[in-house]
Amino acid sequence: MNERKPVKQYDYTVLVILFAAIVFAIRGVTQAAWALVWVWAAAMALIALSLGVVASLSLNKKGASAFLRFGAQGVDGRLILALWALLTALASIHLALQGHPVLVLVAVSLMVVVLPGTGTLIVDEYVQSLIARGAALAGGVGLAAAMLLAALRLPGLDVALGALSFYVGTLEVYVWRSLKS
Amino acid sequence: MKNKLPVLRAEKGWSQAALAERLGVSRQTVNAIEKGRYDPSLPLAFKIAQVFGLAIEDIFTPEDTDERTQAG
Repeated sequence: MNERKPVKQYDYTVLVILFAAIVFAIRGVTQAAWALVWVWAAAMALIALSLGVVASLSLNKKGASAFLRFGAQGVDGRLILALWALLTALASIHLALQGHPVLVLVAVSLMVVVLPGTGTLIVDEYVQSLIARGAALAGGVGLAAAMLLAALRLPGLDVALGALSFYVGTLEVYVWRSLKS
Repeated sequence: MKNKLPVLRAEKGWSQAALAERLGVSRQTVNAIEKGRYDPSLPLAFKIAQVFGLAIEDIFTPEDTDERTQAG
């Protein structure tokens, strides 16, 4: 009998993020550290949302982190995502009013997620597969942006805003382009 | 995965939007399946089969099945 042993896969993302967050926190860049954790949380929430409904994604549930499995076991991903979007949008508006006007764009694009009608589209299995793929890409871009901006020794707040803008922008452009094609 | 969805849909005279409504998915999902960009989940595949009154394997065919049939 040709039985194939299941290949164990582990999600090391959380370790990398935590390490980077601790390094930033030690160096006094607390906001950048929080930005990393926030971007990671968004990516995980989106993937958990997709895992909860879509069975045909090419993600290995066994290898997924505890957070993902928790999401897959029936936590309403839409609620997590809407809460994340709402909190981030409110924080963006607050920061925009404090002299970072570019954050209005992030706030507006995030509000799209909680608009009526978007909820129906967001639970659609094809759209979810796009979101899951886009979230992985956006998470990477957001992290890379955060690390690059931190390496340039920009203030912590700018690092946080930059990472968030890149994350949201990448995700929305990816999903929009895929739906248009 | 190859599928006969465009042919079956045309036979019924349904638009992508009409089929999407029957399946409870977005038009984009139907479009992506027809163009082979997305393989539906098993529950959706069953639903598609049910809508057309066929078996799943009458609608969807793995890519390599055709190659094996042609080779053999």
